[in-house]
Amino acid sequence: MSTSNSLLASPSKQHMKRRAKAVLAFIFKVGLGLVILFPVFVMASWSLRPDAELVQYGATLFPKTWTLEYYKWAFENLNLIRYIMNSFIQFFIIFAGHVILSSLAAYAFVFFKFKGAALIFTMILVAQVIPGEVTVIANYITIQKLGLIDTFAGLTLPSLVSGMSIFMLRQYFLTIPKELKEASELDGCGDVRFLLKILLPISVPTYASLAIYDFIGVYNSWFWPLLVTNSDDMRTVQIGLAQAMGGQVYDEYGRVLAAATVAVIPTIVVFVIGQEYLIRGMVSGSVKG
Amino acid sequence: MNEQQMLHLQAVKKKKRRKKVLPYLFILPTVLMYCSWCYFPFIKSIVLSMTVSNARGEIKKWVWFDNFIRLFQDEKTWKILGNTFKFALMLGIGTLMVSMILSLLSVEKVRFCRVYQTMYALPMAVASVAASVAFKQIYKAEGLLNAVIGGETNWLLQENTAIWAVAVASIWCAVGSSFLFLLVGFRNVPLDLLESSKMDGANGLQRILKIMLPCASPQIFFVIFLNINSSFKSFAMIRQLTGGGPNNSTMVLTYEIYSQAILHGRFETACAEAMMLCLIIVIFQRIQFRLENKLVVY
Repeated sequence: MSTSNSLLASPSKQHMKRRAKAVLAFIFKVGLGLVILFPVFVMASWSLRPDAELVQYGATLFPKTWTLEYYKWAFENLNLIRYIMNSFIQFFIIFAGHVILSSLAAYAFVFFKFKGAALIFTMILVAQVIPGEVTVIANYITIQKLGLIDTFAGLTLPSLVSGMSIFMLRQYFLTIPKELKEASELDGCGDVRFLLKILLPISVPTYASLAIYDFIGVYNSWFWPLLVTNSDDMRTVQIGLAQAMGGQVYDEYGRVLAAATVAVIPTIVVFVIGQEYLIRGMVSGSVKG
Repeated sequence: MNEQQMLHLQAVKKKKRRKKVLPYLFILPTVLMYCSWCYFPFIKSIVLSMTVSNARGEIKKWVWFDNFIRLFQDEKTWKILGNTFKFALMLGIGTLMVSMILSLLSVEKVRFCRVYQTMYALPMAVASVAASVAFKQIYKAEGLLNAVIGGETNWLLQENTAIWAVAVASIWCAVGSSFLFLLVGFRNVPLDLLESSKMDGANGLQRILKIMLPCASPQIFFVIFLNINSSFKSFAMIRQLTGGGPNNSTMVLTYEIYSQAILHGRFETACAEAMMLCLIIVIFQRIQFRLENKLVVY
């Protein structure tokens, strides 16, 4: 049917038809995207309306009266900036840990032959199978004993090494031609210098993937911070938000919605900008070559 | 041998010795971290699950499997286990279906496809806690869902709807990354395979079933088990939306571990439950491994 039709139709008409079809498909797909993003829209739109409208039955998509009252409240009364800062500091420490520890480990696996390498690699692989949720209670007891509750050390120590980051870097280091290492060795360049001066600069895209992956993971992490942060000054953003949701501010839900909208901005911005890097990282890290 | 040669030899030897020590120096921090924050707590959890400890986690008495026996005699444990599996199944199937539809829709690389691709993947950037804030607004009695369908139920307070409500919210959170994994899989399908099947007169649905799905089977498989696995572990959404209620109908194992340890200070119960969780996850990984060898077409 369609072939006979297209034979009869003039080429330009056929072209138009295909064009229209593509545009329609695009509109449909973007529409579906809007449906997917609806909860984010709800967060923003409902945070901008006064309380009377929030508890009303029969809601409208956009506020009837707009107000920034809850944002003002969230910044003045919730320690929101502090929470977000804490999450950023937590991310910087953990990311630094991953860069230093995992680079060294991945380097050792790729550029050295040493006794026990296979055993240690297996040890890291097996550690991936042990769920963090199983060890978390014992770690909590340890951190408590060390007196590290409510400190950045307590918040970050157990996460300073990750299998994902080791696999990701190892995967990349493996693609580097051995000749590069040999040539630099002939020039009298030692391992540490080779790692810092040559390998690190050419691996920047891989570190970028790791940074974005880590940022979204750390900023959104909550089980561990929930355990080890008690004081308001040490809370990370997710814990602050969870507290606000369950606390006395609940009566005026707009406050929580406003806080959540602010809290979600950093990860969304990082995601939209660093999407390509993130996908590359996810794919290479999950294939545990 | 003159002095210069001696010196040279010494230098070479020194270099060789350094070469021998250096790899261990490089790997040592990682090994130490894994020992102290993964293997040590793992063994400690096993020990704690077989003892009675005080509120500070100090061991008081060795009781072998008493903690487990006590747990298995409690009806609540079975309900929690049931919920955990139910939840895992809902997330495994639900996330797969939604992310599969989305990734099949965006498999073709056309102009501006990045726009909707970003939209579909974006939920992965939104934290569960933040998402739960939005979903609470949707589910509550005067919320959005009721405004659309004209009801007046609070979806989170009904025993039969609460777990579905929580599952939908959790699926939303999981869709983004699953979508990306599947998209990578589907985009890897060789184009000439698709072209030749088109020539053979296969329609869209046939092409999806006979070519796309088998070719992307590693990714599909990965996504199913990824979501089942993460459903065993996550409870942020549940804690924020229902707190495990009503009547424990949304209580899952991880949340129970958390509340036993932190809210009640019962570390031995928490660790016994953690061991159960570990066993479940290990068994699932064995199943995954077995099935993968059988079903996945590489």
